[in-house]
Amino acid sequence: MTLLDILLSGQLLFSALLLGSLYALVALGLNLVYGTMRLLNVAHGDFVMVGAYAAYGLLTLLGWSPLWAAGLVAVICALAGLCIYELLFRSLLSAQSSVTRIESNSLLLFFGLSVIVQNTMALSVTATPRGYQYLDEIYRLGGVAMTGNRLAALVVALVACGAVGLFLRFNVFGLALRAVIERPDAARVVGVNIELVHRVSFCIGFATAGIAGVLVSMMQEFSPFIGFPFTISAFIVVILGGLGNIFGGFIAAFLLGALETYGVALTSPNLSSVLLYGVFVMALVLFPQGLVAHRATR
Amino acid sequence: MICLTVNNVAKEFGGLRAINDVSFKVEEREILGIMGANGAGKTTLFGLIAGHLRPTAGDIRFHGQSIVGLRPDQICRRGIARTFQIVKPFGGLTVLENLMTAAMFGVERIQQPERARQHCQTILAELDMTRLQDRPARTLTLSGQKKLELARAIATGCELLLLDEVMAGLTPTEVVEMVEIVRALHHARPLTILLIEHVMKAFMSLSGRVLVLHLGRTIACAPPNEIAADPQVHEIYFGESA
Amino acid sequence: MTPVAKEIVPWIVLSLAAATLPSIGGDYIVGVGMVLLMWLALTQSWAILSSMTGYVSIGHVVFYGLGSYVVVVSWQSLPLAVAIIAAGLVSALFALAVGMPVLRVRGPYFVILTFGLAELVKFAIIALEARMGIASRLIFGAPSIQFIYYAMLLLAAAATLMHIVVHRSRFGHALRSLRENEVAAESVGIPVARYKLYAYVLSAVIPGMVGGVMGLRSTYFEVTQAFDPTISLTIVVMAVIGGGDGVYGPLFGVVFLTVLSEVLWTRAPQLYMVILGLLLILFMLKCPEGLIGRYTTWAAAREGKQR
Repeated sequence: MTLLDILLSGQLLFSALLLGSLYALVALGLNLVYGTMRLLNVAHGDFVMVGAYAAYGLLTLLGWSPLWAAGLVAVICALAGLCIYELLFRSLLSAQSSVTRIESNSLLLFFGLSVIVQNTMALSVTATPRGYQYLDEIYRLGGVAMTGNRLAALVVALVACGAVGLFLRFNVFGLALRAVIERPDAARVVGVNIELVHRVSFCIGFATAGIAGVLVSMMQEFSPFIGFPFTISAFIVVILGGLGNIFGGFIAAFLLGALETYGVALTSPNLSSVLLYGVFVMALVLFPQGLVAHRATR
Repeated sequence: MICLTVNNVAKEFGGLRAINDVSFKVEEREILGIMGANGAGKTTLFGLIAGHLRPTAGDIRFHGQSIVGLRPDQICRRGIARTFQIVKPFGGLTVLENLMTAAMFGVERIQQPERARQHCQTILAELDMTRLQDRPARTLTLSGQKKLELARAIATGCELLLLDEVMAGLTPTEVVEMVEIVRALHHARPLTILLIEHVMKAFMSLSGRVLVLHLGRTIACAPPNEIAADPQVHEIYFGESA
Repeated sequence: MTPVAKEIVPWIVLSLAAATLPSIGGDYIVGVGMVLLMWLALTQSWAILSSMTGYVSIGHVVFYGLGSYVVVVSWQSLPLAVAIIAAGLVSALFALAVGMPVLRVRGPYFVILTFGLAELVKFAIIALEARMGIASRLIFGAPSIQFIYYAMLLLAAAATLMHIVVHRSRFGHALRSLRENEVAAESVGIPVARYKLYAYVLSAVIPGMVGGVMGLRSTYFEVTQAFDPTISLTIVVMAVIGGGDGVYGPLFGVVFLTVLSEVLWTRAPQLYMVILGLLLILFMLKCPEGLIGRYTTWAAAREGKQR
């Protein structure tokens, strides 16, 4: 294929859109947890993996269609998030003094959690990749061929992103959440229940990860270790799009999806990981204060 | 003898001009007070002199040599030390260790630990902090930490000391004590001091001259009693017809 | 006896004792000893960066992996000792090259950056090998286990010595100061960026050589194994368990975890990982200063009460 063929390919465009919408969904959750609590949840992608296995389980054991299972999976993940918050982070947040210490220590906590989740899953269901067939008839829209599951995934991802986006924009509690992201001390002073906001953020965060996992499971094989690249992409999106900037996150997510899709098409599949981690490293090095400085310069 | 010259210095942050064409000279051994409302540019000025910030225009000369563009550690080694508005102790280190760092890396860069220790213990004795020397810095009260900050700056062996609101947060008794300490330190060694302070009594009693900043510009520079009587200063602080 | 000498003597005694192990113990014991010494070398080196400056690295395997790769690629053409030294050198050069931009990144962002960096190098080498058409590298005629044991002993001793020397030096005092407050440290004359870089480079040398030697242990070289994140995690857990602010923390953590993993006799790497994760969480929540750190505070408090 020539360069022009690649750039104009509807097929690739669709792939880029799909990948972008998945990244947007995953990053949304991370943005909320990180934004409200400044906790770097490196276990975030592992809950995408949990969502994938949950969908698989519900399908093979109960015959539930993944699209309907997504709702239950979201609830399960939200509850898991709540448990993790109560068990691990409540004591950490109250005990520690300096903010940087909390951030570094919590990162190690999440790191431990990530390792536990990945390997417990590997122990329970073995590390062999799994997959299932669902909605894999091919549709043709405007010359682009796509399987039903990919189309469904795109739609669900966009709807989920839209729903959370609207919640944050128009709902009063969503406003409170945005306030906490922007200025936690000020939010506290005007009467926002910070602890409740933290809990809700954790719940939404983990729920969206779970839903993304369901969608991923429809389209590709999955193993206990697929989580980490999703965590990395989520971080890239959050860093580039700006902390707490949901709309900025969406744009960054689609840019990343496009970069990966077209990048791989133009070079080789071997380089997809190099590209991903390369962008990650560059993003952090260019914005050394993480997101605070990035925000200030906007 | 002039030790510090600030020439037409300006500092912009994005669209905001924090410092706008400030010029003044500092004589050796004087105590120059810098006065101005919040946002007038005082701490920014200290940041520029100490090397944490780079001027967008103008020059700063220490003993005739330009120090613009030097890193803070390089400026420290030239003989300029500062304290911070919000204290920055080395919390996990002891009081003595805090000073040792300054002694080992400041102007004299003392290599032998024993000589460094003596140097630091002398300063601690001057501030009556000898009994605190093995306490972790983070366990000190605010007053103690402010004194530590001051002692640490002196321990660098500096010639020019920038004091950024050392009295902030202190009780009236502690303020009196701090004024005495600053005077005693100034008396005991060849030290030039630039002083930012909101506690007016301390400020006026310590300063030999006062520089008034307003909206990033210098509007007056004179001995304290003249400043107190200056109508322009009155207007800025109290409004017209004071 | 000078303070430095007093601190080194116990270690010299330990090293001499350890040197006798291959003559008195069987292959199994020597194997355990070798693994223990490897972790000691890695953790002491790590501590020079992460304990002293507070810049926690969870991607230290990048140096180990680079060293491994260098030796595997060159040991047939160079004398082994030279290849191993080259491994350390390449590792240090890499640290020098990426150190400045990487160390500008603060706090937790630095932490995840180190992880991402390790993964980046791993995938870059995989892509490179694929480009060169190399599917795998076989290793024939690898050195004996006794050789590797002594190499590890040497590296562990060197790493511990390096840690002791840095800890007691003026440089070490500067690192501890900048750990507490970088801005203040710079304002009292410490060239912060430069010193952080030195610590980073120092912490890279020995892990590079360790990786170089260990790379020869298996019959074939696998990039994913050489850059296994478990290695980074194990170092961190060992350091966290030991804790404290000196050379004894890493020793304690290394011994503790090595004994634990041998006692558990876990063949399943995943169970081991789960336990590592649990230990990390447990210590982060209940004992973040580590067991040695806890002991030090307890001892100091007892001394204070007795005065």
